[in-house]
Amino acid sequence: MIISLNWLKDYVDIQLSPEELSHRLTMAGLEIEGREDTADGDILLEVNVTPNRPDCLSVFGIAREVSAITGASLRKPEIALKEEGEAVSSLTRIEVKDYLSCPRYAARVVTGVKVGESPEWLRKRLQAIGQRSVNNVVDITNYLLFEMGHPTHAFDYDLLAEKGIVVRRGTEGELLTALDGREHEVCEDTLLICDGGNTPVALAGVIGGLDSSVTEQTTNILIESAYFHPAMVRKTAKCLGIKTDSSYRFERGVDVEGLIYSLDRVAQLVAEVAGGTVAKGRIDIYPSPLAELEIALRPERVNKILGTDISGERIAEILRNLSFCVKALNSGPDFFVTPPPFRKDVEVEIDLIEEIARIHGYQHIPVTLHEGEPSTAPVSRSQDMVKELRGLLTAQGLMEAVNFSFLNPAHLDHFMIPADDPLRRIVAIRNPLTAEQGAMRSILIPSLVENLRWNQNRGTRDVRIFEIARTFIAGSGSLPEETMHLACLLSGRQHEPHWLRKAAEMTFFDIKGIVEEMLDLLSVTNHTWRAASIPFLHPGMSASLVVDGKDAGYVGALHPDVAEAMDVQGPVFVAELDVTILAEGRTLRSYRSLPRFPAADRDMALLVDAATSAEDVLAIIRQAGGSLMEDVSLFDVYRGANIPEDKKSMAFSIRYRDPEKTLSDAEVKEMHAGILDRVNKALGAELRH
Amino acid sequence: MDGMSTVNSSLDKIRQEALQEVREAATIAALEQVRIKYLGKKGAITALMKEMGSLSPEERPAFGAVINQVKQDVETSIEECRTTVRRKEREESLRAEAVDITLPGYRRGVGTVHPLNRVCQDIIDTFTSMGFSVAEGPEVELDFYNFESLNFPPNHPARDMQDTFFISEDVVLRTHTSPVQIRVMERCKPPVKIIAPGKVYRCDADVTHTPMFHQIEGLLVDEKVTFSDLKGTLEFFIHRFFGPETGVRFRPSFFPFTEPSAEVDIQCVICGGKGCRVCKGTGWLEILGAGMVHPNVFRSVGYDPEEVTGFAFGMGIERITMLRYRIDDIRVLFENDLRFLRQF
Repeated sequence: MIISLNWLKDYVDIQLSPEELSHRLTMAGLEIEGREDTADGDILLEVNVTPNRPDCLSVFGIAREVSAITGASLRKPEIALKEEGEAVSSLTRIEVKDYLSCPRYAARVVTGVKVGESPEWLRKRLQAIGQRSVNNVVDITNYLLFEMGHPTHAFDYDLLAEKGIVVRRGTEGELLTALDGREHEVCEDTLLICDGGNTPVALAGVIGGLDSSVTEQTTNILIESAYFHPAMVRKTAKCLGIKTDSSYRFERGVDVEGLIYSLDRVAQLVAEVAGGTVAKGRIDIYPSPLAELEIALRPERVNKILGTDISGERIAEILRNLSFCVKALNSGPDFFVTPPPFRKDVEVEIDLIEEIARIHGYQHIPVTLHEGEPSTAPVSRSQDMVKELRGLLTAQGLMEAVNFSFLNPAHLDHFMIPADDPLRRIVAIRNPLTAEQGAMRSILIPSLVENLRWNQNRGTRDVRIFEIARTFIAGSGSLPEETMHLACLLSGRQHEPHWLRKAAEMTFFDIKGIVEEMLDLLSVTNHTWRAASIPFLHPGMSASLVVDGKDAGYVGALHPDVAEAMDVQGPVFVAELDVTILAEGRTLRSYRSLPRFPAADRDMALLVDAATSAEDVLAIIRQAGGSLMEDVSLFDVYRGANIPEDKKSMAFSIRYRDPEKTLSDAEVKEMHAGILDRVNKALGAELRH
Repeated sequence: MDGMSTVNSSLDKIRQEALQEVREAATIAALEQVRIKYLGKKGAITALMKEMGSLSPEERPAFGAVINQVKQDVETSIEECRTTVRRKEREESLRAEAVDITLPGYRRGVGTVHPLNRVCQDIIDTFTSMGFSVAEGPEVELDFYNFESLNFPPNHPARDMQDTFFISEDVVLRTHTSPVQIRVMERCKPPVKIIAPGKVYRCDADVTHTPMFHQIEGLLVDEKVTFSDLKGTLEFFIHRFFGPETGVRFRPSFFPFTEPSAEVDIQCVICGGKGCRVCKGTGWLEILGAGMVHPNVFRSVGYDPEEVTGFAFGMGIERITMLRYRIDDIRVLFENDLRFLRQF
């Protein structure tokens, strides 16, 4: 909200410099966010009023705060109203049909006004805070909204059927053309002001109707000053998608007791500015006045919450400066406090404590550290795991990405995800900003592929990235299943070109190797790889990872069709793993004593069918090797010249060791021959010479 | 004595020649040739020693002493020379092996942690060092946890402070990490001392807002926790994180779930408090929201507000990251441009 300093000075004397005033207000909870010095010597302050303080949504409201902070006295404009002619009750009839939504409705009638241009002082005041001048009557209601914070409305009295007003709920399908020039369709959740013929003439608390508005032709007006229930106004404004200075104030709660003052002041100013006669008396429908509150306040509690030592006298003084009524309770240390009617936000003791704290000044509250027992809350370990993963992956050359958690549902089609796949059980957002952010991610890889495209489009073709984030799958419960995933993407060359080493293109085994290294470093020991069929991966280059019998994710090459649909240059290698399953698969490391006797290393090059997998051979070697075979690793795979077309050569290095003695050459030979025999029988493998 | 003098003079000649040749040998191999020539099995000095047998017993000791002296002189000379030559040879090979040390080293290409997570981790580490433990909660959250139990009544304008993404009538994308407070307090008895980092969502996107961002929430509930403890804890954090000289101010604000509430400002880290574009000329930067836990929040989790008090705070990781690395556009944090990521 913008306020003019000159206007503010109408109600309170300010001895402080604008800087000091801004600081004092900010430190009392009215943050001054900006300042503008105008050409005519005024200063405009931008005040950030928190939603709990509707009483500060006016120049007078701010003046009240300034007075409480500085002790300067407050000047409220006095009402000097000349009533003449007919009694208002004979001029109009007002009926409220929904007292819950409209607890109070007051009105006055002014006849014989001359609608025209506003006087200069009025135009200038409104212009200074960015308000357009309409005509003198409308400007007065507007002026009062900014002066006192109470929205009022002037109707063209002669355009109201039967010269009356009915306040009722809307019915589906009713239409009203409002002052914004648009035709609004009303719903049941709206509160309407209608004329005596039951035709809507305003959306209560939000905006007036165009047809009954005050124009140059108007001579008689009806001024409305009412209290509409905040939730009702909020619903009305939301339902119609309109937000006005009026609805903003009603939603936060206006001063139900102060509305008569505002009504009278509008009538007086209209008479002053536009002439006319104010009819005698006012309509005031207020069947059940809101009760005054009495809040018990314990100074001891104040100091217990704040960590201060503020005296009872000082507490009472602070509250009285804020227009609170403070009474001692049974001559003890405690008080009974009644907030002023414009402070509807103060309802319980803690609200009073806040008032005391902010006026006392947060800067005067001591600085201490709490000493207590350790927390009983269980420690979440997943954060530690994520931290570890980050370390392992960055050490392997991957950059960490952070993407929005949103999924573009179209990407599921690009990824060729079948209709019954769980990845299709997406959590859709009802009010997304864009269709591309229409749901929560059920899978992370599409985001990384988008990152790849972004980088490729900017000339970066070597991309090695990972992301750790949650995925969301809708389930049977009210909340979806959230699972922490890790996704990696590799594309381009293995490393930057270097004068010492040629940079080779990335392969399937780079992504698999990264995952293997990670499993090793995390000590996830019980895992196997299986050929996998993942819709968006290359059918011949995809593997799923099984940890402790559970599906932990997959690695593979992105299917060329997917790469094409996503508009990226391939080949692209990806992995996506379930972090929780990895965490559960971790085993404790235990030390094995170092061997005392030497090992014997022997190689074995085997000729096998081209379709035989490395794991097929390794499994048999491990089984055949027995307890004295310490280790086996594959070090070469060859197909080509000197080998039949349907065969391939695989070379293994096998290490034998007896923990108790040095193995003799004969013993090693025998074991080696035994293994060869077994792979020969099982797979028809032959030694390659 | 004639025989002796002949021998002596030839010995002297051999000695002169040998020492001369040793001096001239430039390599270890050449030196070895010299050694063989004089001291080898068929060497000149060895040959002379063999002649000792032809001398009379009286002549032998004198001759022996002389020839041994010669032998020793030559050996010593060879040894000295060998050291020199070896040093020379090593120097030469070192010279030959020299590389252009200005050529770039071979780097395996280590990756980087995203700046948001780097900052987030630093904040977590600071608070865990103060005894806070890490807690987590769902990102897709019930309206009850996100708003209602945090003292946001339905249809209340306070909800406008946080533009909400809806999944259904009563399920939202959490707009803050505060619901974790409720979930933890529902499960645990006081004292509770947690921080909860995570992603949060608001339907808002412009130069300064993204629909997803990160927050860290803190909560301390115990007997006799005061607003002054809140000030102490956050000042400790700020001085650790931004430096011990950083000015801090607490000013009143409003959050439905805390009362009294505060915004915490630090002296602008860009201009040092003099006023600049980043701090809009105020000299202060708002980085934290905080306050004393509202009694209604305690009631919603079954804590007695007369028994325990507590404070809560929350901060946005993006803002702190942007301040730390002087990033002026929030969107660059989520583009994952490698030219950006590589800088951290």
